[in-house]
Amino acid sequence: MLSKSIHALGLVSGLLLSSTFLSPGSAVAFDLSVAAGADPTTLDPRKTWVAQGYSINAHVFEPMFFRAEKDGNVVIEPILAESWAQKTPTELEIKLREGIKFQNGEPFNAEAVAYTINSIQDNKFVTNLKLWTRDITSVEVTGPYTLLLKTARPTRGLLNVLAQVPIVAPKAAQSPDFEKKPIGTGPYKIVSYVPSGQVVIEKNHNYWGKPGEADKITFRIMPETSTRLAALEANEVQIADNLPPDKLPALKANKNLQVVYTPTLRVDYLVMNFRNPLMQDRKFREALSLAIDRQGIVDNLLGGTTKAANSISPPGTIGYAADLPVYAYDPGKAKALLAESGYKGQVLKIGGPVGRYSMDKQVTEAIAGMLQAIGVNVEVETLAFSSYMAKYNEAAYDLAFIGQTDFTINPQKHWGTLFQSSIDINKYSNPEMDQIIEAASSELDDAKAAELFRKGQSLEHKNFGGALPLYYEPQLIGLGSKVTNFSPRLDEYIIVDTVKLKP
Amino acid sequence: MLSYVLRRIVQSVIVLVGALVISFLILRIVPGDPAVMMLSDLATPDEIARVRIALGVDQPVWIQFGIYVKQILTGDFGVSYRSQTPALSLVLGYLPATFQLAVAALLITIGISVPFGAVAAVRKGSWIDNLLSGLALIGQSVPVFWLGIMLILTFSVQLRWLPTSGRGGFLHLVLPAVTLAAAQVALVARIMRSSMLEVIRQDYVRTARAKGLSEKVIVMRHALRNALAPVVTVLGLQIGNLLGGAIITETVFGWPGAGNLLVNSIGARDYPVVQTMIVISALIFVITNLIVDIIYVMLDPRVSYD
Repeated sequence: MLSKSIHALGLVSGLLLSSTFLSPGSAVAFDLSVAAGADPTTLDPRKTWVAQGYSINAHVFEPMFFRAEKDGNVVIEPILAESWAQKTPTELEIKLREGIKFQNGEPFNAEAVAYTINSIQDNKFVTNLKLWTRDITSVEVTGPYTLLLKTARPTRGLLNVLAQVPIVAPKAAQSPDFEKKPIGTGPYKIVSYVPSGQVVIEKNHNYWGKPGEADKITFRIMPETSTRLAALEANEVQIADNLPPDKLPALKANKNLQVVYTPTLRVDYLVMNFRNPLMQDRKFREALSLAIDRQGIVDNLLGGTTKAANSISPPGTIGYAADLPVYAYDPGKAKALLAESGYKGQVLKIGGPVGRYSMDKQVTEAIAGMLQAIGVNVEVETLAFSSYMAKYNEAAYDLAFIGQTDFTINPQKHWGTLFQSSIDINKYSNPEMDQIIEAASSELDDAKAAELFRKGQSLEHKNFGGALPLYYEPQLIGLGSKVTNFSPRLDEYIIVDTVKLKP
Repeated sequence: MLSYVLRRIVQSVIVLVGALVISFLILRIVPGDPAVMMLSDLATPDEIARVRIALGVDQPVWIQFGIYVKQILTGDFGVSYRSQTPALSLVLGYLPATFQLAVAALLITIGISVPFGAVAAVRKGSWIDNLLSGLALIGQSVPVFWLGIMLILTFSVQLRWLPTSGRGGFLHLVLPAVTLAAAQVALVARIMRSSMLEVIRQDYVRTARAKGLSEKVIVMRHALRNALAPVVTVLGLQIGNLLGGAIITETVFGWPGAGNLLVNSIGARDYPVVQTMIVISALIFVITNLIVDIIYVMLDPRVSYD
């Protein structure tokens, strides 16, 4: 695997470099093309919910804080914010960077931030981003560049959720053109957008931070994997996103291509349905876990592009317990435990999506085979993601495959829907885990929160409750041979402003 | 003729209403929830419920249908769940690319299949006929998806003559149009051949020969025109297929057409967009068939609808 360098977000290192230093035209001009696997659907960053939309928007918009990677851990760094202070357990004061202008000349200030958050929270505005702003009860503009965010109770990870809130230019955002030609503060601005065709962005010459390398970047929408690969081979694009691990041998064999991959913050789980009385028995759950050859799946189906799970948290998140061993594979012991549990051959229904996660259908079928091998009767159903999610949300399966990521790197968010009895649709209930998640949600001290997260991971490592982690969803990206300075990110974003091309 | 056209228009309205009702019902029967698709997997049941209310999908199906009918009557097709923009203008924005591809494929189909089918019939049993039958068989059995990828690998990756994908100039159109036309060419060429075979056995062709007309005049002036009638019918039906079959072609070639939009909208359970597309497709289908029937009269004066 390519070692991952710290992804120096242009924005962050930009603090050190005056933009006048690197006047436009000082470097050799070049354009970049990226093959994107899906249409962003809308370019209004407040409405985006497609991965490719997040990636494209990250070049045009900036949040107050954003994720960067340091030594394999995700850290939150200020971008449009300059400093912050937790005034009281429920009040966060943010001081913004001054002298920044939006791409249309509108000033960036506290009003713009307040407008962005308020518009997302507006009842009439339908957006996924509400999930991230749900803890904020009010946004007070206390000065031209200062804000006070209030929450109903002490809220862990408020800075982290703000990383998901790109700040938009208030005047421009009220125009109907904003869908296709939105305005942010980022190093690139939108030139044109053909839905399901391409998005073209060009360098923002008035950018306040370190400018991007390429003059123009074209994101070409190519839903078909083989087409993205062909375009890469034909050098029509220099970067191709979202390639499946079964293409790895072909990519490695081609001397004109490079390939980078990384495990991500997404944990792929097998979720257990506790409505089925069998699941209430810890021995039965342990037998299921022991039957699954996680390393075998990683090596054979995922081409070794990621690592088998040792924890319900992904590496890089706060309090990740690196010292826990990978969940064991021992079919002999699994059979013995199954016998002890009094399992009488009841059929378990296993569900999985098709084409949503890397090799998801194949992994679901492989797991079904592994469970059959220890004597569990299974019935497998794999469906297109949209049909699958409907059934998943009705808790229609005894065992269900799902990948969950938490951009906030505070796992209480993604643990909630799997391990917290009050919101788990699969009715898992463990008072100790409930108490850990509850306590972590309002714990503002990082060290104490990390301790709680470690406790939760080792608890479920022994208890096999809620959901069995399988591995961390890999991300595979193909690059042309001339591409340098590109790093895959744990958060699955594809950010290419730092990319250079070798002559 | 006029009364026929009026009758057909009334029938068309019935077809459209049927398409509207059926598409509405099928979308609600198929499992799926737009709110779930829109929110990430971290959404709590409460948050999903709130988005369902905002989108209006929490209402009973018959109330949703009532609202929908009211919208349609005012020319409003609702708002796309995914992009929160009017569904009609969204769909209309995608149509030019789809039409461009369909027309190109149609021209290729007519340009190749009509002359080749006719030649195969006139030279029945010759090597040309056998070759064409073989090619037609291949054209109809090769999966569109596979053909598209093979063309990309050959002409874009190996030879670098044509772009792999996307919509741009004429060169961008070549591979997707050929891919989309392949199966149509095969089908239409076979129909042209059998229709031509039928026609050249007719009495009036024998009479023409007896008159001493040259073979060229017989084929071009007498046989061809009559042999075209069934071909036109099939082409009319195939236009629907060209628009529908374009889904795979559009996906393979990253062509920003309505097929792509339809797939994404079904995946997201974006009901307003899918319904709008079905109504527009039905409209196109109805209109092309009406036009085909009129062309029929022009080709064969014996046909009368009065």
